[in-house]
This record gives sequence, structure tokens and C-alpha cells, in this order.
Amino acid sequence: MKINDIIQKLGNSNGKLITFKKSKRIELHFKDLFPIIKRASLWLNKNSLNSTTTLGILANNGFEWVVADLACIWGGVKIFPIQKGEDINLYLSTSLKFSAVLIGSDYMDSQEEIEKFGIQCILLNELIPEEDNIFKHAGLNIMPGDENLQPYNYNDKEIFSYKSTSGSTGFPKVIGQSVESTENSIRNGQDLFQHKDDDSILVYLPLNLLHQRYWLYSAIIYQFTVIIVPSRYVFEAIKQEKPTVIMGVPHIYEVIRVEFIKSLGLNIGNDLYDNNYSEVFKGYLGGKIRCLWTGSAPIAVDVIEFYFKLGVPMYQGYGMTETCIIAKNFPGNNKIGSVGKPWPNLEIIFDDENQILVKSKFPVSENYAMCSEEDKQTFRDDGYVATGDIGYMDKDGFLFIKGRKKEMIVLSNSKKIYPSEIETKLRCNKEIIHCILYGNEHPYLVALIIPATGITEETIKIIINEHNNISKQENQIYRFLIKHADLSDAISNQNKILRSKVYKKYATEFEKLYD
Amino acid sequence: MIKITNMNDDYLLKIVQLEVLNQQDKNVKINLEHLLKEDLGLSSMNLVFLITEITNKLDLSILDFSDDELLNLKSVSDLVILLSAKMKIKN
Repeated sequence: MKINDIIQKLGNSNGKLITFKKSKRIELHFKDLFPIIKRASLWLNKNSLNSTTTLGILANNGFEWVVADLACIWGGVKIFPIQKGEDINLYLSTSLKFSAVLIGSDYMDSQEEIEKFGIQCILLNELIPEEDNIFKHAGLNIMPGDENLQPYNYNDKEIFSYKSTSGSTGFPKVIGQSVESTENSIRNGQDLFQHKDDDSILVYLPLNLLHQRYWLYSAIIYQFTVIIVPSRYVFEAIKQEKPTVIMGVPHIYEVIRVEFIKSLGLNIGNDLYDNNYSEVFKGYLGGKIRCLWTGSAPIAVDVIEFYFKLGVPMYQGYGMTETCIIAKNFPGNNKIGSVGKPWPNLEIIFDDENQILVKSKFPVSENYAMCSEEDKQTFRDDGYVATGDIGYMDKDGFLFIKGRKKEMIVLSNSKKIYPSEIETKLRCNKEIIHCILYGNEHPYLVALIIPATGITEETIKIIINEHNNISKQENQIYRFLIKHADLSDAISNQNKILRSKVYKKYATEFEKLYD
Repeated sequence: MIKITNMNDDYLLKIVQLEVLNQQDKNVKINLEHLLKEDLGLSSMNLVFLITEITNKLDLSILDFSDDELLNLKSVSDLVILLSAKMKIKN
């Protein structure tokens, strides 16, 4: 599989795209998408947007994203996904230069804000036919002369697409992923899972994540169906579109498990496995489900066991922005609790602290396009990527993750939280003596609060609500525990909270906040 | 105290109360002032599930809601008001 195949095969592919443009459902074969992509790539070409160009994109999962992405691949244009509310100014101060930002119809109100930075905005409406004319355009003849527009020919080492993630200091990290790394991921995903023409893969996580877009490219090349929906539509899509595979993160599988059990009028503790609930559960997941992928955050073993016991295999994997997929369980090679065997063409070793170090035959990159000084240490001089995760490999070659090297909290929806930053802000209120966040592998943050003397729960609630009102969703504190307690045995000589001691002391009470 | 201003909103509140109760799995009295996250502990994905269930009952689609509208929901009252607005558009 080569990246160049994506456009080469588009015009003949019997694979299918199911997605939405606003609330209108679109279903078409990729070969019928071909003229629309060609039209959009012609538009880019005529506006001098080509392989020397980087375009930002701000759009929701849907038809616009797909057309923009494939048109950019046609022209060799590098995509840099951005999120609403992101400080674009940060990126402008580096060598990264956006020629323009593509804006989806859901984000047209962001145009003015982006243009303040002197960046041109291109509304995706300009690239894509009007909603009602999509199928008419699908049969449109390309104008004479336009036939000469050949797809860009990628080489192995060049950047295919940019991706960004929050760095360990909170400063964003940006990396340009190589063509060969992308090809290695897609090719091996297909080799291990053998998706066929009757498969339909549901993608609801943002297409901003390059590894979610792999499924679009795979569907074109290996000719199956990809269903791309906004995350808010995921539960409806499972019922309506009946996928055979779902690409998810732990939290959605936790929600599905709980809601399914409730739908039976049972409790989590009830034994479902001897009562022929397997077919009922498969029906709950649309009726055609073959397997589930989970990754991006740790998942509880009992959640995976629940799915397996009800006849729905769930394969856990592990990866990071700097490496792509590092390990993956797959049919015939699965060990519950592990993150799987090393991905093909990749070597895993451990340093003195049992930190996982990874070297790929097809590296994502050799450095960041943008990062903090601290993050630069991730790419080591010896070619290994330092993952920051502590783990081990068992005798059968399955990789197990024990925890994060640092204290980062990873919510079960894969959002990463830097607790000290939030705790420090909250401690700026004189009413709060100490604040310790908790939430690893849980869907949201909770906190232990040690208030100043005489401060009531109502006052703390007001402070927490104020914090929540100005914070990103993942940084909000949903519930908290108040203790008028002395934490001196959990404070270091440098007046730092010894987090592990606090967690151990209040483990039961923290967990009760999730009841 | 937030008050229901018409029968339609009263009906919507009852549906919301019923669905939230299903989500809560415990016997609590749901009122308009309850905060969806802080008081009821609903994560964003729980909220999506809840609204999917409610919209199915009301013959609406969750695609009729924007991400921003969902992100801005703070309380049961906000949810009832938003549902009411969508029902008016539909009708």
C-alpha cells in the first residue's frame, strides 16, 4: 500500500463513504466521489495551493472534511488540523506557515477571528458543490484541459500531514508525520485485521486525528465502507448504520456497557454471561458488530472481559503521536490486560526505569516541528522515542503498561490533564488550602479539597463552578470531596503534595465520587 | 426558583427527568436547577447518550443540535429550554 494509491484507486474503488453534510446523510461509492475530489483539487491548484503549501483545517467530522482531505492529498498539500478556540498565534511564531485555513460550515463564525492574524480563510463551501447538487456533480464531466491535473507523487520521507497534541508543559507539540510511517500503519492494520468488502467501520473521533483518517484511506484502497460521523451522533450511528467495527476510546465502551445492563433492568454485578445475552448485546450494537478497537487511554480489564464474554471482541492497542501505533492486540493474538504485541517494523526496549523506548523502521519523524525545550528529549539521539510510559513485556511478547512516568492524568475519553496547573490556580483562592485532582482512567475529574477554617461547602462549590465556567471540558471538576484534614504526612519538605500518598489514603472516597 | 412557563415545557421536563433518572440509577428528585455535570455527574458522553434517548422520544435528531449548543448545556433547565426551541423549529 502506498499513499499514492489513495487517489489512484479512488476512481475505481467500490468502497463506500457514509457521512453527513450538516444533518443530511450522504452515502456514495468512492468512485462517485472521484469527480468531486477532482473538482476540489482543481480549485486548490488554480489558487496556487500545492505541495509547497500547508493548510490549516477547522471542520467537524463530515463530508466537508473528507473532500478537503482527499483534495489536499491529490495536490500534495499538507494539512494542519486546528481546533476551535486554539491560539493560532502560537503556531505563527514558528517556522510553520499556514497559507490559509479551510473552514467548515459549522465554524464560519471563526473566520473573523482567524483573519485577525492575517491568515486567509477558505470556506469549504467554495470547494464543494451545494448540498442538493452533490450527486449531480458526481456525474459531472471535467472541463477540457483539466484532465491534465495529475495527482501529486509523494516520496517516502516527506511530510504527509501535521498533527498536534498538548505537550508535557501544556505548550502544544506539532509533528509532521512521514509518508512511510502512514503507509506502515495502514498496511499493517489491514494485514492484521483483514477488513473485507462487507465491513463497515465507524469513525466518530475527530478526523483531526490522523489515525482516524487512516480508515478513510483504508476504505478506499481495500474497498470497504467507512462511516464518518460527528461524535454527538455516535450512539445513533451504531443503531442506524450497523457498523461491523467501531474505533473508540475506553469511555464510550464504559457508557455502552452500563447503559446496556440498565436496559436489561440489571446491575453491573449481575452475571450476564450464562443467560444468552450475547445476541441481545450484539443487537444493541446494531446487529452486525465484528470487533471493537480501543486505545488512547487505559481501559479497565473488567470492561474488556465484559465485551469478550458477550461475544464482541475488543482489541486494545497503544500508541502515541510521535510513534503511531506501538502495539496492538488482534484476532488470534490477544491477551486481555495487555496492549498487544509490537506493531510490525517496530522495536521496543526498556530503559533503566522500565520506560518504554520505541524505534521504527518507518519513523513518524525525527523531531518536532514545534515543541517546548522539555519535549525535545522525546526524540533521542540513538533513534529511539522515549514514550514516558512505564511497562514490561511478558514471555509471550505482549506489552503491558504500568503507568505514566509523570503524573499526568489520562481520562477515559483519552483527554490528558496536567493536575498541578489546575490545583495551583484553585489554591490561589484563599478559601482553599489544598486541592488534589483525581481521575485517571475515569470519565471526568474529581477533587479532594482541604478548605480554610470556617469555609462552607457552598463557598467551595461557587469556586469550583467559577473554575468550570472558564475551563475546557476536560479540565472541569465534576464532583469534589471536602476534608477538614491535616495532610502534613503527605507534604514533602519542599511543600509539595505527595500525590501517591493522598491517593492511597483517600482511594475509597475518591472512587465513591464516581458512583 | 426557575419555573416552567407552559405545558409543553412541563412535558419536556418530565421526559428529561425520566431519562436522567434512568441514567442516575438511583432515586433522586431531578429539578430544573440541577447542574448536569456537578450535581448529576454526567460526563460529555453520558450527556450525548441522554440527549440521543430524549431526541428519539421526541422525534428529533441529535444532528439538529450543534456541538456548541451541547457544550453550553449546564443545567436541566438549559436542556429543557434547548429541547423546547428545537421542538418549535420542528413544528
